[in-house]
Amino acid sequence: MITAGLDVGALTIKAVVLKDSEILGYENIPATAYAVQSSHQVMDKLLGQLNLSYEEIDYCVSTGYGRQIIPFAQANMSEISCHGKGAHFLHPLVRTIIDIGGQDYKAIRVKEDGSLEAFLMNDKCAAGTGRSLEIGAESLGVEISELGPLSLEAKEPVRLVFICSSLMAIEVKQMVLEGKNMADIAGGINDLTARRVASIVRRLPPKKEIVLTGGVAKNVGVIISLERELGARLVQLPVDPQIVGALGAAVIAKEKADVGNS
Amino acid sequence: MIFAGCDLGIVSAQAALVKDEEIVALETIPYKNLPRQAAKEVMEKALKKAGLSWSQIDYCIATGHGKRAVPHADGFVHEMGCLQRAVQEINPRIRTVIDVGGHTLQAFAINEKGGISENVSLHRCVTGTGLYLEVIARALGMSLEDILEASLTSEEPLMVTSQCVVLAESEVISRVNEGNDPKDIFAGVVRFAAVRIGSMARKVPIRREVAFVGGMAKNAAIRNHLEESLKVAFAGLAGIDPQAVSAYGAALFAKEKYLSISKKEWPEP
Repeated sequence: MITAGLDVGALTIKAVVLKDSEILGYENIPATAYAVQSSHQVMDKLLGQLNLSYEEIDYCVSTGYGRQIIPFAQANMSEISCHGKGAHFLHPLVRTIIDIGGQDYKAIRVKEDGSLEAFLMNDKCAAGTGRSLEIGAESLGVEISELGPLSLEAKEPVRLVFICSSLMAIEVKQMVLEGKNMADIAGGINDLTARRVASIVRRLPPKKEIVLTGGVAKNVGVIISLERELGARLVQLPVDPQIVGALGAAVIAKEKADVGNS
Repeated sequence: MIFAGCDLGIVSAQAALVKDEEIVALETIPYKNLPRQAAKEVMEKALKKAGLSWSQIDYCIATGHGKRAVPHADGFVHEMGCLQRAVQEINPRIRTVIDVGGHTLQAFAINEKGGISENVSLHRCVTGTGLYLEVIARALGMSLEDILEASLTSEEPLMVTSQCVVLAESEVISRVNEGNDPKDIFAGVVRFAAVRIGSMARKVPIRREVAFVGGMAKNAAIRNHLEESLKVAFAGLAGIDPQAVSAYGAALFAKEKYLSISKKEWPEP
């Protein structure tokens, strides 16, 4: 049986195709204002690679901000459930999922079977999200992918005063002008993200094992800061951390198809 | 005797020069680069206007977020203290002060003795400030002045739902892509800012007279919304630039401070 999961996020769109319980492939593209068009784009790309057609997909579940308007999805689920399912599928011992997305972040605790136990999220303020890291990188004049590696060279990471991303941008630009060390500033930007995210994770509270998902999980500096803030190691996943939500959607699609067939 | 006040914010710098009892210069400049240079530049502008030189300043007090970076400061006073001192001088009947600048929102009440009784300040989030309007204007691809003016003619303001400026930025871009008129979007954004300022101000008891100061007090649309929602008419500021009130208060403190030091240094008779 072939199932698909689609995660229509604020900044990126992700698709995963499963054959029974095996990941056949995944794809990740930047989002546009037109969710339907972009979701076709990512799916066409992935199906092309796998030599599959839309008709061969037995069930498709969508998730993310734009989940309700995807024409080829038979059902949609919240990102919370999908992230829980996806992480549990990859690593059954995971009980806490921290997902840092483009415009929000969430802390999710699941039971031993992967079902949802508790969650907290912030979608009111951009500080701590991927967008805020993007703004920080822009102000520093580096690519977002450089923030992590650069921060590893920090000797004394700066402590940024402002939480608000638009003020942080100004603060970072002023530090650059003052000639502060770039690596130390990069470290400060990552630390700010970790501080913000850790504050909701602690309120959850978390249980081991803990995993970080979403695009920000590609930033090694945030991982290290977050591990320090939480006093715990984060589990590494064997796939792109950005596709966990889409993977969870594909796993749920399989469950739904199984129920339908029996 | 020349006394100076310098208010260094994160997006603008203000300077005030007071000669004996009289204001001889009030200047404000926006800046994007180094705070230290901005502080120097705005004071030079004020000195030039007053026909004075650096060496003639007897005492200077710095205030605002960047006060420690003011190179010529002899002392520091908290911003709220400077505002209170200035409005007392301008109009002692003022009981409530609402201050909205480039990146901060605050309000406080002044009791009958002239002291600050209640206060509230929002320093963590720029929503409702000048920077907020500037970021949204930039997202709409227009200058703040142009979009503000255009928004005054809007008949159907479109409300934004994001409380955060960064999230509102992508929200307004989506609204434009959906075919909405930028002037309606911005009119909604201005209204949202006024609502946020109003709800903050209501946390201190609003008692007459009410002063509205800071750079945002120069924004007629914000003033009108706010006067309407708080049901007050803002008190006049005796012709003083609302953005420079804090620097003026700092200059008044400079005078007090200088005179008190001078007294101590006089030998006992």
